[in-house]
Amino acid sequence: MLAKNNRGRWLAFALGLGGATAVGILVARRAKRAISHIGPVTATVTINKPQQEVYAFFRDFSRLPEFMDYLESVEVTGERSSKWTVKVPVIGSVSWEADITEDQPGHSIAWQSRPGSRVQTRGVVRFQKTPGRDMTEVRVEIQLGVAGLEPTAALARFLATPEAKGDMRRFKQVMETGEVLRSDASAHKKPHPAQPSRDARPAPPVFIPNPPVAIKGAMGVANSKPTVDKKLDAHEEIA
Amino acid sequence: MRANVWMGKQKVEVQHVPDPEILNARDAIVRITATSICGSDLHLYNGFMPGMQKGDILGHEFMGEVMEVGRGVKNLKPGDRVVVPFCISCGNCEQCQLGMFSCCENSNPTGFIPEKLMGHATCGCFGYSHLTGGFAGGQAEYVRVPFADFCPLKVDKALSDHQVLFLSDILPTAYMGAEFCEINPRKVVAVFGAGPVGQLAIASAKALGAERIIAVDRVPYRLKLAVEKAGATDVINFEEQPLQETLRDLTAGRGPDAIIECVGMEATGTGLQFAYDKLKQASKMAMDRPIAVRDAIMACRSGGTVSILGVYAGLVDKFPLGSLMNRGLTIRTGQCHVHRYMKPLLEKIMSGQLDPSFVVSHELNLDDAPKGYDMFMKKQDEVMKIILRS
Repeated sequence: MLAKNNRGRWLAFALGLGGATAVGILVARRAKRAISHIGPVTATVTINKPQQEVYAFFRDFSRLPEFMDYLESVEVTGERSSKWTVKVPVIGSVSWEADITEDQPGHSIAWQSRPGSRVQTRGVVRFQKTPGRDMTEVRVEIQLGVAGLEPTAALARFLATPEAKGDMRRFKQVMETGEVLRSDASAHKKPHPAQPSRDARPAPPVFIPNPPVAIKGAMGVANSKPTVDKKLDAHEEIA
Repeated sequence: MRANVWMGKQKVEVQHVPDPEILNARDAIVRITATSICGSDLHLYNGFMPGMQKGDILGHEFMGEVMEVGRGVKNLKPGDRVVVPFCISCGNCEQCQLGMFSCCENSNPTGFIPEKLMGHATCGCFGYSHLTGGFAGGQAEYVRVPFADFCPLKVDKALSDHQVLFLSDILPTAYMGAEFCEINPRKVVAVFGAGPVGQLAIASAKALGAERIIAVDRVPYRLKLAVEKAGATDVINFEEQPLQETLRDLTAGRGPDAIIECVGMEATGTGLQFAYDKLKQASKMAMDRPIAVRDAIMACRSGGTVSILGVYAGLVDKFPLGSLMNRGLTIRTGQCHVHRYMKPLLEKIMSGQLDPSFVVSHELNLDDAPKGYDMFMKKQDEVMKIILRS
């Protein structure tokens, strides 16, 4: 039941984006109205990696499609410029160019699509150290500009929020486990039962080896001595 | 391959489905040599667990032989004999580093579903609905195991399947429940529910030093096994004896110092309360019948511990919060952090301190899984734990 909603949302997102783009082009051509930016789509996540490392990964925009599902590609065209391509059902691909407007290494990156682009977007991502631990709190804000049509814009925002949350979940997976995790269900864009299938999408081919912490309970052969025989204290600081 | 597939309420079928393939670098494909039907599978079978889809492969307690590994798995090779924890854990996130493996933050790709129902995502689990990731389960010929460089435990071929299979779920679950109670010989422990987890909770409580263990159930053969094999000293059949009074009697008015609840969302009770919960659940106004938890809170000695191992999904009412608060009870609960317990418990099995194999009552072919579910649900033929082999 819940998964159906998700399909609906995805479809609606695709249609919304496609429709919004089409309408946007029309309106922009006819009225040459100023693009109005609607409120940001926000998403946050905590990543178990140092701030600098998380920043550096995000700063290379060409890697964003590894965890942002709807992005086909981001081509880095210059020190601060990039070309973004999105897959849109029915229409095909839509591209636009964006520039980095602010770059504070380790702390934040802001970008904005060039004036006159078919898709108007603006985003900022901030990185902050988690209190007491060397983890990173990531906060991303994305604005979707759709040529002056308020209801469509509101729709885009409503539809894009879950996508942005999913992006952050996958970003965390890539940074921590080395890749985006697929389940038998999530290997399909449409709802799929939890069973293998021949048309499952494998994870993006990139894999960053990141050995799991040596947790004392599990690994090893039967005859070796367990390294921990007491219960782990959940509140113990990890050295 | 053949797999036992959920097709709706009280309907499972063994179907031919595609073989699993490596989808992630840290995957392994395991040929299942033994799997079992868990009491918590009955919640799925009976349609009480949300987030199921027709075609979901069931099964979360299994062991087998590694057939193939992804390029990120260096510690396993084809031919290794492994037991696989039911909860999928990455070993990289902060929760895993803290040993809270069933709270893994990376293993549930459909985490947005439990986020809505429970506030935050749960970990991924094999064969346990789309709330826990939508991973195919182990009641099949083969299974794909994510994070195979971290989760599976290699086991020696000298140990029998019956001895080690339950390291996958029910033995660590039961042991964790007993450990929550900080048992010492002075403490009287009651175990609610004498199914497979309850039996092993009794055995774990005994291994941890409890001298007095009271088993509570309504099925006579289960209570008999609790005394004969698990180590219970007293039994209460709550359909024949009033539960609260009998527990008070057995403890001279104090109440048990700790209660391990091994029942879950489909609890049976007596009287009006049971009728109320049944009606509420049947009319979809509630997902759970929290009878055993309510009873445990009311029965537990002031200052004692209630350890909740039964599976629950949603919101409950008529919860004795006043009793819990005013009498200073401690509630400990959680899906088992299996990885934390596998190796230490394997040691205990090897040294003979614990032998969980006494809970096995039946061995069936995988093709007979539907029969097994029916039998387990109806408690026929003195069924306790059913092993499936393909």
